[in-house]
Amino acid sequence: MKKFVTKIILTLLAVLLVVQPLTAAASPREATFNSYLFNQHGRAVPAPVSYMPVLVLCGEAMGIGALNNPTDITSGPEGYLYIADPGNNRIVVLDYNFEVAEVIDAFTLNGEPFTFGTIDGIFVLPDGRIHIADSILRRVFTVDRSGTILMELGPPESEMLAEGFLFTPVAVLEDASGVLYILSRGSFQGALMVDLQRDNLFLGFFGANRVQLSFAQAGQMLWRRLFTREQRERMVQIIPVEFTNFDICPRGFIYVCTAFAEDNVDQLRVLNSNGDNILRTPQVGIPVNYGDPPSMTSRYVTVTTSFVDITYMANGMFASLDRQRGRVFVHTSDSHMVAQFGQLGDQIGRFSVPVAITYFNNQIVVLDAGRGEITAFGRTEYGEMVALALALHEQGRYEESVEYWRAVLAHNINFELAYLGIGRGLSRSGYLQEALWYLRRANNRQVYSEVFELHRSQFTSDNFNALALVFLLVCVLAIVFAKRRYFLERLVPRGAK
Amino acid sequence: MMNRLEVLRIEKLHVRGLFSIITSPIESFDVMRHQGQGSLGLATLMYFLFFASVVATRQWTGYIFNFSRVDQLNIFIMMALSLGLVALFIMANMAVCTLSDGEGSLSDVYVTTAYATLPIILLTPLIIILSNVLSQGESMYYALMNFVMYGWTGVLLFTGNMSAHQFGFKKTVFTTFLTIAGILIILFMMFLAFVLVSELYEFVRTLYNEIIFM
Repeated sequence: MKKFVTKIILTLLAVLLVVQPLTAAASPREATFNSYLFNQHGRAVPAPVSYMPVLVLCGEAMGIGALNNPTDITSGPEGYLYIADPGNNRIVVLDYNFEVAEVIDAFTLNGEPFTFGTIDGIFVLPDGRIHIADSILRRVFTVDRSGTILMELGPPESEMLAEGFLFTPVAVLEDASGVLYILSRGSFQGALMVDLQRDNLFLGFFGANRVQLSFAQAGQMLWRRLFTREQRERMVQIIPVEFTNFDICPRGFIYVCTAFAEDNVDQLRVLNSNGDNILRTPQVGIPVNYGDPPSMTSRYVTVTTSFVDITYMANGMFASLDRQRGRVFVHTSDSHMVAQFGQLGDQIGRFSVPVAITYFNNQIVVLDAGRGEITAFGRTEYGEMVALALALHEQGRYEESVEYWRAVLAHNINFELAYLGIGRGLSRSGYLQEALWYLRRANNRQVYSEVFELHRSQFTSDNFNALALVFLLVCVLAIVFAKRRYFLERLVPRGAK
Repeated sequence: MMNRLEVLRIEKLHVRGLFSIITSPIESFDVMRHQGQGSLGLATLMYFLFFASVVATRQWTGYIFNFSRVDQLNIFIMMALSLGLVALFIMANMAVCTLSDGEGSLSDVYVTTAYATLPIILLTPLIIILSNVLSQGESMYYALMNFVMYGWTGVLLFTGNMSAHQFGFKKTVFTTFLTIAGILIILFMMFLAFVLVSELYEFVRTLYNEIIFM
């Protein structure tokens, strides 16, 4: 009887296993893009979809008329989503249901109606005021919810700025201590820091990229040495690339992305208040590539990943948007890539000109300027599992995260971070041998080596007697071998030969 | 037939000659040359063991120090990189040294080169064991052992070559550089030949395609 019941259960399970993927494929919510993760050798390996499009919304559907060339999207306090719509000179505010809560379009400056040149970037303060970067009027404005302009900030006056410096603000944010960070297009020195608490004092530049030398540029450097001063002045200067966008996380770290780089290293950075990059990599001292590796198209044009926006999510995760291929990448605070979705195209979940990204209500919202619509991506069951495991992992609760990582592995056997999580958890619980098995699959030699040291010392102290015996035996054998003639003469009777 | 195979026989004398190069390489190589302590059979065995050590290094080195990719395992490439390189060295060296009045015959160079791999054969097991008990922080011991192994091999290769051709120190340095250049030239020729043959193949294939559709 018991056997019969087990048989029925097993059959049912088998049927379920077969049927489930079929129904999933038939559902209209099938992903319109391929999801992948990079393995240890940098090859893209298919992975389950972590984020699925749950909502596509255009201006007409919101009931406020089409969005005209929207430029920026950001999530503010109290669960509101803000869309900058400079074509209609307005800022659209959506609530957590994606219903229009407010449209700020009657801007006034000193009581008179005001039209922005453009709205390139917006930043919402905790009290609801909004910073607006306007690259045409070359100003940063602060407006309140009624549209009244409270502050107008022109180019800062300082000796630190080079002569002829063009103030072209495209993105803006403010940290908790009231320092305004303004990203000016073409400013390779980094973002401008202005202290609002101290009478708009210019504090200097923040977070410039390091100079990246290509082969051609390295050759130029060589020539530069041989040239005269006049010749040198005519040459193109080698300067670091400007970064394209930034975001600030609740802890005050600034997430920065760079569009073009010679290599993909350092395209995404996390800066502390000192401007140092604190974004860790899986192994100390070994840089990682962000986004896709450059690829050659049929017309011999190299397509490189070009990040246009970055947003902090939660638990150390952040999402970045690649305009070139329309892809969104989600990384952890250890630079592990945990998810990838989106693509250029016309279907749901694809974009034409993606320009901005934000994390809103546990969803990733991408703004498509070409079609004037937003697409919200929600986590799938698998994505949710990864996020849960990662939340525990990020807090250092490795032991608790193990079972979540195991569930993730059941969906995606190629997920190196899951192996790392299990390995860390098991080594914390003392299962060193098993931990090593997992860490090896995580391909993290540094963590492996740390656990290996623990395992080694435990092994030697556990088996000290046996090891000492083997050592002694080897010593004795070596002596016997070295003095074999002596032993042969003494121990073997002469007649025996 | 039996007489031909006689040179492959390994005697106790040969093995003793081999191990004496650990303590006094220059002397032993000379003795080997004059008293016939070198054996083609032993040399061939050494090459076999050398290749075995190369394979063992790839397969059994501990994970922390092993960066080889399992999905790219190819025994023929490994053979080309170890035994092929040795063959290239012997060929280039013979070519160069014959021109610069070296006395060594092909079998002399074959034997001395084989004997020079002794440190690799002896130290590889030790290094493999080390790589399985050391951690990343102690990698300098691993690097040191590797340095000793390759350095010693280089010294033996040099002294062996010196006595095989009966050269002085300066002349051996000179011929060694020429040998390296010779290896590069041979590689270049091989590349050229490969390109030419593939061009020819392409031409014949195109011609064939043209003819069958005519």
